[in-house]
Amino acid sequence: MNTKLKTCLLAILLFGATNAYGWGTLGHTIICHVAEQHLTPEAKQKCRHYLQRTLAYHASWMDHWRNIPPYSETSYWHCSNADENNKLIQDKGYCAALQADNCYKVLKGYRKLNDSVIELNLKLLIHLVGDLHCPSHMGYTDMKGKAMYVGERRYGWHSLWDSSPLIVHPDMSAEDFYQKVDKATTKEIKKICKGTAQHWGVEQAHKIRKGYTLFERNAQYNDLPADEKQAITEFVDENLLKAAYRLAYMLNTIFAK
Amino acid sequence: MKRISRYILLAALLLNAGYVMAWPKIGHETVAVLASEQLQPAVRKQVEAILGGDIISAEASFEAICKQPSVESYRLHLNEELQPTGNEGDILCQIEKYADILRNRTSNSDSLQCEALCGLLHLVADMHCIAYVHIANEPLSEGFNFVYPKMTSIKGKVYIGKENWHKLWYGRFFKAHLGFTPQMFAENIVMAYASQRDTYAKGSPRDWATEMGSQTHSLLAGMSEGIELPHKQVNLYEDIHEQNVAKAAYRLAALLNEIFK
Repeated sequence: MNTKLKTCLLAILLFGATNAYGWGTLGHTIICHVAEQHLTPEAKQKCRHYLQRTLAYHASWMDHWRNIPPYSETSYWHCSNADENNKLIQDKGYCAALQADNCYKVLKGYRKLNDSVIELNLKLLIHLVGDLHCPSHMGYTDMKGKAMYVGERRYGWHSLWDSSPLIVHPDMSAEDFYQKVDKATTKEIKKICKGTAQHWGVEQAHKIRKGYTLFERNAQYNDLPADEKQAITEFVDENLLKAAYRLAYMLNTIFAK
Repeated sequence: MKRISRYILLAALLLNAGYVMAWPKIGHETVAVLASEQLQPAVRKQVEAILGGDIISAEASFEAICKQPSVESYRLHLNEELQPTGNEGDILCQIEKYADILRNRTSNSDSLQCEALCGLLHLVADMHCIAYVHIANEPLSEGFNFVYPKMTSIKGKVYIGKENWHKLWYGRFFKAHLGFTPQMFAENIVMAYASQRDTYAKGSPRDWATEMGSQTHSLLAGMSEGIELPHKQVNLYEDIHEQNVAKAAYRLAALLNEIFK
């Protein structure tokens, strides 16, 4: 692919990034609520001390404040982009995986930081780990998204995945999700949590490609066969849970005794 | 002609009724969860005996029990001096009426006590929703539209968000935490405002009405139809909204503890 085309595609991806809201509020709430259930008592107490609230309360803080100085620069951190070989593109630091790792590194030294720095980095981390696992937040230089209809409403690729928790789990609260969907064993969770955010980013770059094969262009969700709907639900749930487990893992490591 | 006028009036009332739906169900349930935690055990017992269940479930049945309350009963009217007018049928008038029924409960029927209690549970919350506060000669308290710079693209294009003042205070800040249960909201409000509980709970419904009038009046200062507000300001309104939810809950509990002491 020539350089001009690559630059053009990257610009489109980054432009898309500025208009994105990750998993949507519900997805981020679910991720943070489930993550909090997997925190050690020490990590939970520290998080609540610095945030003055639950993790879920601040799950979408980064979306609400992204365009307000001094946080405007973070507006470009919500997405990760990958080339045709699933290598992450990290120009100007515009990469959710890279920024999540940066926050993690900062927070690892939390004992030497003042409370406001810790609070900000926690708010960024809890959102970025979610965004990193959202299919619409992984852009590819060689793939083009497709639209889907849910009833009469048309969802573009981005808005589809942003809204997907609401589509597959209408009327479900974060607590319901935790009670009904979070079933992984300790051994499975340990396996999921190996690596760093950038490792997970590369893994997601491979795995999220599956999302492009789950339905035909302009498919009507309501008319999909039950097994195809189930495949979409499992794809969404798997990504939400991975994000939750990995976020909890990072926070448990940061605030380990 | 008379019949047509009646239909027009009815349509206007119904439209208004839709518009004055205050906090969504989850908002009222959050207040009920928080207030329930603050009830003295003996008071809780009496309250639950009247309701035939806990106050969280009863809160949901307010409209069914309270015999189609009028549009007027959803509003808190203040005069130009920001003092409650106590107009027949407005929120404060209804709250005081319901409180009296419960204070004199031995001379009132079970069904009237139940209606009064459900009414209190609902209206003490409603009076803390800024959208319900109407100030004489302050037309903006009837609601207005505003815009704010919602998002800027990488190319510098600014996307404008449109919002309505009343809708902002009804549901925006509850929707900002989609997926929350009332218990999750309540847990966060306790974390932030429990230390203010005794301060918030002081006074009478009339004092609270005056306070809501002053708060609404200062929020409306400098506003106009179509005004552009900074995004930061819109976000920071959430603190005021949450304080009001906390106040509603702690005050409701204080009122019930006083009535049933």
